[in-house]
Amino acid sequence: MNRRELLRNSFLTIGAAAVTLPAGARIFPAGEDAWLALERADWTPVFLNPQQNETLLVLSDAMIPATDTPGAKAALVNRFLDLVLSAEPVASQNEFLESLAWFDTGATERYKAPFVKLTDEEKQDFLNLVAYPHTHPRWGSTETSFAGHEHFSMMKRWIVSAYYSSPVGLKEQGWDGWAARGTFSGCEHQPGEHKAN
Amino acid sequence: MMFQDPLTRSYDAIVVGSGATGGWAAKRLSEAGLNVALLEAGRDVSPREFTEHKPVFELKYRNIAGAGDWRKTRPVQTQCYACTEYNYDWFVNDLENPYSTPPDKPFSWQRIRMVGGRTLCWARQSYRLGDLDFKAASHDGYGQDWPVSYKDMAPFYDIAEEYVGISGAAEANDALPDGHFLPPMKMTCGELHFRESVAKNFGRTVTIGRTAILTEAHNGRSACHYCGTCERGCISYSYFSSPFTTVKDALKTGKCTLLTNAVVANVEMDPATNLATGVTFVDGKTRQTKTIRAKTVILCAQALESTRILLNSSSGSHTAGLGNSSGLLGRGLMDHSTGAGAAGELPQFKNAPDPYSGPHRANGIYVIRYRNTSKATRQPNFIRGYGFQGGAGAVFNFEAEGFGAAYKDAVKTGSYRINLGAFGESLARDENFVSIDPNLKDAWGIPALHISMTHGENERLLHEDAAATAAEMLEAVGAKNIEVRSAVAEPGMAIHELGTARMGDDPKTSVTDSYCQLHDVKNVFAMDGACFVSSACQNPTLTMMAITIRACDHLIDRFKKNEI
Repeated sequence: MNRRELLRNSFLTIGAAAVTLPAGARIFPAGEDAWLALERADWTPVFLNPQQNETLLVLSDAMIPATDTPGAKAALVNRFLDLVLSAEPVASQNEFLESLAWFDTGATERYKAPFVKLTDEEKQDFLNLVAYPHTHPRWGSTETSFAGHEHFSMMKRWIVSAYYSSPVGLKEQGWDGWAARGTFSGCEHQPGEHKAN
Repeated sequence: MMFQDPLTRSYDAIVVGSGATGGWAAKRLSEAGLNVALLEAGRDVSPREFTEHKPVFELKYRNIAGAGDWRKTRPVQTQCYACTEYNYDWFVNDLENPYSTPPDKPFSWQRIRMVGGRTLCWARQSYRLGDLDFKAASHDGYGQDWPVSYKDMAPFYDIAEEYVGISGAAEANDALPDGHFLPPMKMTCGELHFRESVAKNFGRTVTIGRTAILTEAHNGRSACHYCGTCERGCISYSYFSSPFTTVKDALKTGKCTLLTNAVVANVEMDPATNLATGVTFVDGKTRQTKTIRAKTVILCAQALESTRILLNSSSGSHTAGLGNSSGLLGRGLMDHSTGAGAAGELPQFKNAPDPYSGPHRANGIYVIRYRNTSKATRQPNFIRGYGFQGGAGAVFNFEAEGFGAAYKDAVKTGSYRINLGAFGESLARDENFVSIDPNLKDAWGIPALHISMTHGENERLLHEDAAATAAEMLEAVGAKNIEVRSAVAEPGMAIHELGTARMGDDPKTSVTDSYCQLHDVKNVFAMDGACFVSSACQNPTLTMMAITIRACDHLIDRFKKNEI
């Protein structure tokens, strides 16, 4: 099925269904898009306090910065996570806040300033110290487990989920705004040649 | 045509449930000229509810774990990968549809109550059973043979496949009969490499998944457009779903009346004739109790729901439920054992991940059973066998280490992964059962089920073997960083509930005959997974459909001979 046929089927389907819509069916209204609420100019956090929101904004953009493609800030990662956290169980909320707060604790301990006040170089240095599972010698710890890495991993999971499910993140994965996909061609090598690469 | 209240007339057949088997029963019987009432516990479905093309960021919570009310109302249902923020209301509300289990025997019962039932979200894998399965007891002495052979079933598999449209490849493997296939979906490079390696090193067969997804236009439906999210509906009806195929055909005859929100409580009996006269149901909206009459009652409500109705139908001489003179109604519950497998990387393949808007194949590969298929493959410590479902391909590497620009690059570069997951035969054991919980009712006041099931030692040993052989096949293909899983998952997670009203020739050791008719009552039938004698290791829906077609054709003959 090509895109034109798919589109035609789509209209036919919706047209036919218009007269047979069952009671109780949950229909997403045409154009409904939760992303639009995150984009509002008057957006304010519903779960995080302003300081926590600012820390998350800066941390997320340091973890997933703008490169040749937009980063976490443009993906409104902080705004989406604020919404999700407002609906999370209390235990999950507390885990998140504990990890977020640790970045200020760690930054203050090492650089005598909260995370949002670090220079770009300091943020890079700090994240390098906590981003990997081994105990980084420059941190000075000899423990086998490292709380800093656990907090980093916790925040990274949330931030990655939020970024790669945003419009920016989907485009990063090759989303072009179109739904129809074409045909799955599979391996196109000649028989026996597919392991050549 | 004058409108007639469906409750004031008598039908030739009441079909309870509109999913894979109920749809076929309604289609087959109404196309033969019988008057059919098709009762569905849930509401109708509209294609306007389909969300397969809705990008995730348009959802309020993007289906992120833990967030959203749907997880509070559906703590069991959200254990199913297909129950998401997109479509959770297709699945039952667990708070309204309770069941109990022993504290140490959890069972995940994942259900949809809608026209179409679980065909709306099923995984679509469609395999025949063969005599290795139908006559398994003769091979290894465990349990009972089915009262049918592959020769009996083959014509009905043909009918099901030719109507449904199953894409796949013939392999001439004795452990898995071939069928009538639409062109197969393509394999990836890694999958072809794996197929060749497994054949060369182990003599085992890897085939493309046989799936109820069209690869070419078929019976008025369009070929798959490869968006990859079938569980959220399909605007081109390319995967088989009963509302838009069998149920639609049944309604087109003018002989079939569909009643939605009809929650069937029990079968009504006439003690004088020992025949069913109809069913009593609760109107899901008004909560009124109503009765509808028919010459035959056909239960296609899903294995456990059909048995629940029978267990709730005690009357007269049927003191322990209807059709339970053997004492076996509810016994022999099965669900394929899952959990074992292996995954790893195939670094020799450098392909980039398919773009999000590129084609996605909602299908995988299938490793055909190779254990206990002959004397040469007989295992010393377990009986029966398993098949693997899985796939290989490049995926975005969200698990990459680090952060920053390097992390973004690593995600996009991706990794080439291969994964195998076992589906093992679940032995029919009478200590795995369902019964009526005397202290629990659903939101409609209907007594609820108590489900008691564990996977046994055979399943444990079978999965240990599956983990080991999955790992050896991945090693042979050159996989790196192989992760092996051997634990058996909680029962119910395969969503292949089978048994509890098994068929057989002897009324003392079975509940129905080979045409799904209760031994105890000549006009009541259990035409779904309830009648399975053994589970085999193949996905069961195609066999359920073939059993239903066979049973309906036999019933039509009885109507023609005025035996009903």
